[in-house]
Amino acid sequence: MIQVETLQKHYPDAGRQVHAVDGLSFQVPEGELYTLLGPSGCGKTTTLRCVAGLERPDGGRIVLGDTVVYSDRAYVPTYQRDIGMVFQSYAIWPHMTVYENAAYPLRVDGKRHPRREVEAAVDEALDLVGLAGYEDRMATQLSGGQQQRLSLARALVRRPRVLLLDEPLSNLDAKLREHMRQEIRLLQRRLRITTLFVTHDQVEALSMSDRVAVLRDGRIVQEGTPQEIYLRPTNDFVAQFVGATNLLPGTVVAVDAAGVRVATEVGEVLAPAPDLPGDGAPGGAGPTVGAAVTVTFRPEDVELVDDPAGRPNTWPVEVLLSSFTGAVTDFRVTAGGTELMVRVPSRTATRGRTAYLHAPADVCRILPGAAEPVREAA
Amino acid sequence: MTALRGQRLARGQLGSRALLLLVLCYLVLVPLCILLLASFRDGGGGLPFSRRSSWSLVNYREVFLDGRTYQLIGNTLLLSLGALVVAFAISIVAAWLVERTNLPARPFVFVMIVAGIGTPGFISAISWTLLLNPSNGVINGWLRTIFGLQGDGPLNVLTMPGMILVEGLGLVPVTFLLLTAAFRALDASLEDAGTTSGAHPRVVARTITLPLLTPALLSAFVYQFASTIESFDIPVTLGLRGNIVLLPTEIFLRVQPSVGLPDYGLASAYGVLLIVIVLLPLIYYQRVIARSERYATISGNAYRQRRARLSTRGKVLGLSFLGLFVLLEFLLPTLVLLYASFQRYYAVPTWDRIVNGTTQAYEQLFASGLFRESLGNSLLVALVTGLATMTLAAVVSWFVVRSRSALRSVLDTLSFIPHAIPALVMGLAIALIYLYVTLPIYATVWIIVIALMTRYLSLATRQMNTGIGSIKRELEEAGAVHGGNGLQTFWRILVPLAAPAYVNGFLLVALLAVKNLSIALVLGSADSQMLATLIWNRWDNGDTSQTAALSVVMVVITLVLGGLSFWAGEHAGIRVGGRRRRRRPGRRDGDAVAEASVQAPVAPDRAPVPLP
Repeated sequence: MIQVETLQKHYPDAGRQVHAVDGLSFQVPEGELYTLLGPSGCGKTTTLRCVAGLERPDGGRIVLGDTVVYSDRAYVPTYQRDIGMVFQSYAIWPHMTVYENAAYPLRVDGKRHPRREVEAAVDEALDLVGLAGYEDRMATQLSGGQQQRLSLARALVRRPRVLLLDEPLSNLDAKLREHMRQEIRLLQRRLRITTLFVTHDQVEALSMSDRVAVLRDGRIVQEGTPQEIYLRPTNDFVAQFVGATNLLPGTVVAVDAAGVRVATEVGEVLAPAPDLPGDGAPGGAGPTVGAAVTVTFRPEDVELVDDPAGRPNTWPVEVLLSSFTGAVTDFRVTAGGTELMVRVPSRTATRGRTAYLHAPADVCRILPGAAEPVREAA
Repeated sequence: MTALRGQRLARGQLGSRALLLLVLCYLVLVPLCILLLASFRDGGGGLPFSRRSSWSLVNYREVFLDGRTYQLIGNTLLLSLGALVVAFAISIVAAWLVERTNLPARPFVFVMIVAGIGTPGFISAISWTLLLNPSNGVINGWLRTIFGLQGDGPLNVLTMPGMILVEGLGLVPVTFLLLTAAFRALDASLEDAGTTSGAHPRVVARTITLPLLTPALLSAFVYQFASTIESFDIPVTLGLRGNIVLLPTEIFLRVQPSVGLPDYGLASAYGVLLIVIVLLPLIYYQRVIARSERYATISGNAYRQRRARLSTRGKVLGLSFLGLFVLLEFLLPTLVLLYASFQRYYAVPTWDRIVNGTTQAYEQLFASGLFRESLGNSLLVALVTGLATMTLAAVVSWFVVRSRSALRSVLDTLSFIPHAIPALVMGLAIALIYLYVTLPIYATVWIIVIALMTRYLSLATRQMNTGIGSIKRELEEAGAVHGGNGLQTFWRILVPLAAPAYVNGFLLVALLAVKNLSIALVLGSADSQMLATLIWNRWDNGDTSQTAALSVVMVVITLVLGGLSFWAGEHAGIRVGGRRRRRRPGRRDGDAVAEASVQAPVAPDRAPVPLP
């Protein structure tokens, strides 16, 4: 189990303090894979390095298993923490062989392991990551993917209580990345090892995690299962950072049994009332008439039709661009001066220059405040 | 039409290549050949190529059969290795304190450690003679007072340990820069991976940091070994007074004997021997570099280097250690020069004497035509040598980096050879040429320019290789694709991008030209007096006051050139190739200065800044 409470870390920069981590709290239950997801500079790596003990926090409390490794009274140095870590650069030691790299944690922990025990543990770890038979190679003779596996084997060889992964897949090419994503997840489940995973890649986060925390400016903006994060984002930052999305700023014109009606540049949108209390207007139990809100829907949840057929949430659009990408076709359309994205299966894609965009009410979500569409570098 | 143009282009290129090859051969190979030939001539009491001389092995017989030679080699090795031990012991601790601990005032400490980088060796030696000669050395005076001693001593700098100390202190700034660069080039996550594997920081230092630093340490050691073995200033200033003769001083004594005629043949044979001794470690150095290539690793997040937290006692100890070093290497020598320059006659400083100082020495200096002339000569030589060397180097580098022809390795080798030729031997070889080729430049400053240019060509080409190498070929091609012709591409793209490396190299070569003593001594004449030789003559005549005043002028010039070079290095770091890393929290300006001024010492084309 990992427990982080009100973690603080700041740096001096150009004479002022930058809060890299600002009161972060989360908990990773035993055996789960927990992901810190966010853009660069959001504090995710700093948090991970605080958990590893590579950075000294400025406040808060960190518990690994049943050991308090950091609080205002305690500080356990890195080498005494029961962890294994995989670095973004893999940090494979170039002056050692594959075997020596993997055996290092067992040789330096101060206990005298019998040689046979070390050999067995290293063999097992290398076997786990598919590097059996490479023991005598110099580490630098390995390919990038193999170095990554070796790094994982080294992190696992002493069976640590907690596994820390710092963007481990970002240096791999696309195909290998997808493969390693599944490998790591399978391995983590098999070993039931509590894992903290840091990434800026939403696909990695969604596909590998038990739970995801989306970070921004050193704080958690939303935490939940991958499904919750993707399907029910609670603010425009999460909606935009995780997956592609359309944002329509508008004003609430009516709240009734059917849902909330919002006037936007595109037209009137009907959406279900937010499912979380206090989600809509500040201090209220839901959005009130006149409140500034944002309606959001995913490109793949809406469709382009040739005939409006009197359905609600259907607006005429002009097709600016349709790009065929194989299984799906992505459309850029414009309605009332607002550009929107639509993704449909290629078989049902329209070919006309104009069409109607239909956004079923149940795929629309209402987010608090009028959002500025911002493109975050993924 | 196109074919015709292609032919004309090819012929033009061929012509410029042939010219370049010719220039390099003339500069590099001719002196070497003359030196080699002269060493096989029996001058018969005259010049090696005069009518009375003949081919003979007599010089080599004298060199190798005389037991004295082995004593000279022994002394030379002893000084070099001793100085290197001193320099590395200090530099490793200093680099670790500055790079890897939370020592306070690190940027200031950094600047103070490298402040003495431009000070000429013979000026340090003169200062140390004033500080530590057995009769009236300042420190000896104090020690005698404190311990109530009588007579001379207790310490004497005119001995082998004294020379080792002064030479060692002088080597520290460059060694320190090489080591800090090595510490910085080390990927922090390799060490972090050690601690997260459960290794105590001490174990990490032993099993990871040290082995990974070894190639860089070794190459720095060998590199500095090559530069200290040709060291001339300290052996000639301290050694001769203490009757300790080294290989370089022996060559000097043969060329400019106090009585009798110069023996160029024997001097040449000694010169060839010295080249061989310098060459061996350099060949090894190139090998070390080739091997260290395999330590290249994938880079990830550039983390802030974690720093060891020092206790208050650790900080005090660390600062005291560095303070003592700066005191010995820079402050005391500079202060004693300042003091002596304000005294009519040199004596152990007392408060009275300091207060009653006189500016007489400076007044005499500025009234003296000889001073103005030699200052002018030195500045002219620095300017012309800098421009000529860097321009030639830029052309050579452009061919070496860009050309795919066989010529490139020939040019590369030719431009590297001078690195193995000690400045003194270079001076000797050039002198030999112009003894026979009657050109009007003999006994003018221009012969000094040619010698200095040849000697520092290797440094200049390494510098430009880095500069031009960091300009991606695509940038030039983009210029051509967008309609610029060759000349426009050259002026508008290549020149501005390579300019920082050029300026930086120019300042370095100019600094080396100003502070060089051996070439100016061997090639200078009454009409081509340089600042360095003027100081040397005043010192030889026992005029301490004038020597000190002149030395102060020299130190000011070298400090300015050194400072400019650092500034330019920082500038180059920002502009060329964007190699400067993203500014991370907690970084100070001192880091950037060092980073830019010294390129990583492990890669062959990124030679360190070798201020000998």
